[in-house]
Amino acid sequence: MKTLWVGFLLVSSWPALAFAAGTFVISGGTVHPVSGPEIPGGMVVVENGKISAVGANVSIPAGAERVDATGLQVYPGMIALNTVLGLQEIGAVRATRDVEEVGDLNPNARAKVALNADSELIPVARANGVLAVQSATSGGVISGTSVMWQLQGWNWEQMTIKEPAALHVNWPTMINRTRGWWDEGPVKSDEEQKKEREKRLKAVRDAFDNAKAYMKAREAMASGGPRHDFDVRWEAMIPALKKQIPVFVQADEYMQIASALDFAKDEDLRIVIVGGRDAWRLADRLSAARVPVVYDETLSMPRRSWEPYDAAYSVPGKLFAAGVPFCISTGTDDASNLRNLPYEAAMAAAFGLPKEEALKAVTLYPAQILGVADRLGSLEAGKDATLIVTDGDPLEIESHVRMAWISGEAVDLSSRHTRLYDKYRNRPRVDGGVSKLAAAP
Amino acid sequence: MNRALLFGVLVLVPATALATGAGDPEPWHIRVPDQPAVVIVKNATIWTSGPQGRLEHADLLVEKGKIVKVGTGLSAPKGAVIVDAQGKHVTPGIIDEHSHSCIVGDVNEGTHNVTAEVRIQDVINSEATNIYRQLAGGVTCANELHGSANAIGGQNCVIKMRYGENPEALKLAGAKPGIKFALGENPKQSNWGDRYTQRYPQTREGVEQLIRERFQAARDYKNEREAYAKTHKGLPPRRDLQLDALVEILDGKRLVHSHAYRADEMLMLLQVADDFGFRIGSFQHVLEGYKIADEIAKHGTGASTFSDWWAYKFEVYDAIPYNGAIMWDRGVNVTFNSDSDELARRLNLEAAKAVKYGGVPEPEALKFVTLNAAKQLDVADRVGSLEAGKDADFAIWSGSPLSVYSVCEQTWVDGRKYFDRAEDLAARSVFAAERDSLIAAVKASKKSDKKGKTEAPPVAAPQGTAAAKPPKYQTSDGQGCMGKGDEQ
Repeated sequence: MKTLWVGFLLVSSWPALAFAAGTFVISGGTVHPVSGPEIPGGMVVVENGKISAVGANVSIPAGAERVDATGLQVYPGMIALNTVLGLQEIGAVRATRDVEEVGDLNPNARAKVALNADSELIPVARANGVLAVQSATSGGVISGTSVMWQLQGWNWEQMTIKEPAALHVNWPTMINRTRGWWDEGPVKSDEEQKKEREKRLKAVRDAFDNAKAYMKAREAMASGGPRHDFDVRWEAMIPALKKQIPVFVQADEYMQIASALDFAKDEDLRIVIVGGRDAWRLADRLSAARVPVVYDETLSMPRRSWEPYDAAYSVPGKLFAAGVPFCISTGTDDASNLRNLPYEAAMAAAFGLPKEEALKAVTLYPAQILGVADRLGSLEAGKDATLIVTDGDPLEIESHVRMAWISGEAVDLSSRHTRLYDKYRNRPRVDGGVSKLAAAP
Repeated sequence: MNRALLFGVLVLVPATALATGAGDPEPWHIRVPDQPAVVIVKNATIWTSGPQGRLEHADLLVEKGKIVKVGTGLSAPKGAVIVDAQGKHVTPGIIDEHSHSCIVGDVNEGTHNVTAEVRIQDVINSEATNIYRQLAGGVTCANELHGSANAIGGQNCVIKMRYGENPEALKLAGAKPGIKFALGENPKQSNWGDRYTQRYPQTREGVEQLIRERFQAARDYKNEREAYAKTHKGLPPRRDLQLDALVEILDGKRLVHSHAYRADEMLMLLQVADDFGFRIGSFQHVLEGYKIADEIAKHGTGASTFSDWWAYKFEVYDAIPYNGAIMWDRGVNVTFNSDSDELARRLNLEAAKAVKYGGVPEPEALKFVTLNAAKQLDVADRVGSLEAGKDADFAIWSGSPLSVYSVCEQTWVDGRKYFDRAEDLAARSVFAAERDSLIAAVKASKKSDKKGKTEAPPVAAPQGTAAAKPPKYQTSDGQGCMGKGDEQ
């Protein structure tokens, strides 16, 4: 009965909630604010797209629609950092990829202008509770700036939450590569690789030096100094130089991370380590420097043959124990299975990370790392009404998202997948039998 | 490096790649665990994947590597090794129906569009670190397949995760021989890079005609050989290893495991099989299987799919996570596979996705990675469920095997305990100390070399070795050795 009722609610309330930033209260379920203890029988009041109150006893505004969540659980929407959602539809089809620009230095490339608001990948992520993501380009050495956006809206202008969200840098590999199976010929000699590495490291240093010099020259010009031409590339780096946005440094190897930390200290930058496969080996340094890690290697093989089988699973637990600020994400290879974000966090929980921390690692912590925790990441008065109602622990695979809202607007949980499911589930059967399958929630 | 090609092979053609994960074939002197005469696992929730279903507070009795009985209140025979599994869950060992994890070198003989003569059984790496890592995820059996580069690929090999045995001993005796076929973008080289536009076939139409032509050749070859055997007139037909394999398919002695994504190409292969009078053993990936579930069921073909991968290339844009459930609902024998060294370690959680997407009952969903895989490989008389007479291949989990918070605690193959998490954890500090002392010795020797001395200092015994000896079943691989390509 409950399921039917929820289905009815979605159908009946969708037009009303979709475009009017209505006033409603979700009640009857257990509220998990994430920022505080769970509230059995709690209520979440939503007005004009924002959460206006959360608690067991709150005053309900006159005329508020009531959403019954009896027997259900209320959580903030999940957040994935450093993704390619909206920028890549089908990895193998080049025409659908807007991820890597040509050349080493593209700080002025802006991810937001390429976001496809009608990507079929978006409803699939949403249907499992991922409601806001950061999307970033990842080519060259300095890749560009990213955008933090919510997964519902008419276009990127309307969906943008924060832009620029971060400046993205690929830290050069610090390790000489040996020949892999994919190499058609021998790889470059150690000496050549060393030269290339130094060239790339110099490119990073030079870019930041040039941008700083440019910033000074432009400031001087503004206060009556000599004219200095506008430069789109160095201009785009100014928010990072001023520490208004973080520098997201893609670094997995120990040496990459160590080198990036040295650089950030020398240059006085606010960096975030992305990837972070070996971050646990530098946990004390990261913790002392308060450098966050966007860890996207949970579901990976150990990199070294002598590492324990659960090396990658257990990294978040180690970062947490060492006091390193961190969140869990899925990487930039592909965005088609962003829906599995909660299971990356869950695997970390199975191998040492406390359960409640695992949930924070895909809600509150990413919001904090990107500086959008005033709007996202937890259920608190004043934040966006971007939240999910589930029939169980959202990190458990068997749970379903039953309802969701983004900035107070109801989310249609159907997708390309549920449409094809409904079509073929209902194909007339040759055996004349009756389907045992459940309808998509 | 051609980045597009790397992407194409690594991400888009997972079946063709990932040979490197198999690690070094050097011997690590891995110790094979003992096989106790009698083992009894007590007081567990036992998911039998057999007629007994899921039993609470149940026991599993094993003798000489075979299951004797599953039930409640079994008494422990004298001298039995007793495993207290109070509060734990026991499942059959997980079977990965699509793996390339234990292959030495390349997974594809990708030079030719037909390579039926090539055999994976000749390149099994019995000491791949992957074996230990997958045992740690409850995996006891895997179908090692040739890649999907060719319309007709090489012969597969079904193995058990008998870590430390020689390659021959890994093979699962009695498993029906099989062969890899491939349809769609991979054999027509769509994602191999711009240089790969010359090899026939380059279209799905060409793939069909190539396969038909080869079966026709195989049929003719068979007739010639049979005629010669009767008459002994003229010259005997020249032996052809490639056609021998195809004749075995025609004779129903070799299973076709065909990589396929789209409904159209699968219908095509079913029709080819009907025309030549044989049955396709399984479709691998079968991501649009849900569109033709009735047709697949009618043919009696198994379906081995990914739980939820999609959109990584064009032919998988219509892949949906409900695929397994729809096919199961219409009577297809469905499995979820990994095709990945990493994913293989958590196939139990892939099974949970059949519950999430479509509502397949939990015990049925677990069969997607146990009994159903055994059936697809024609080894269900040996493995795949916990039933009297079958091999004692099982895993013990801290909680429900379908819960994300559960971990695999023990994995047994043939009644031998190959993995024990407690022992693995206990051994780590010992191996770390050994490694540190070796590195220190190497560093010291380098320093003394520089000073012109030739004598290296002796290797210090790791601290605490006597107190914390590596436990009996622990292997040094995966912990204490440096592999090729390792980062320092």
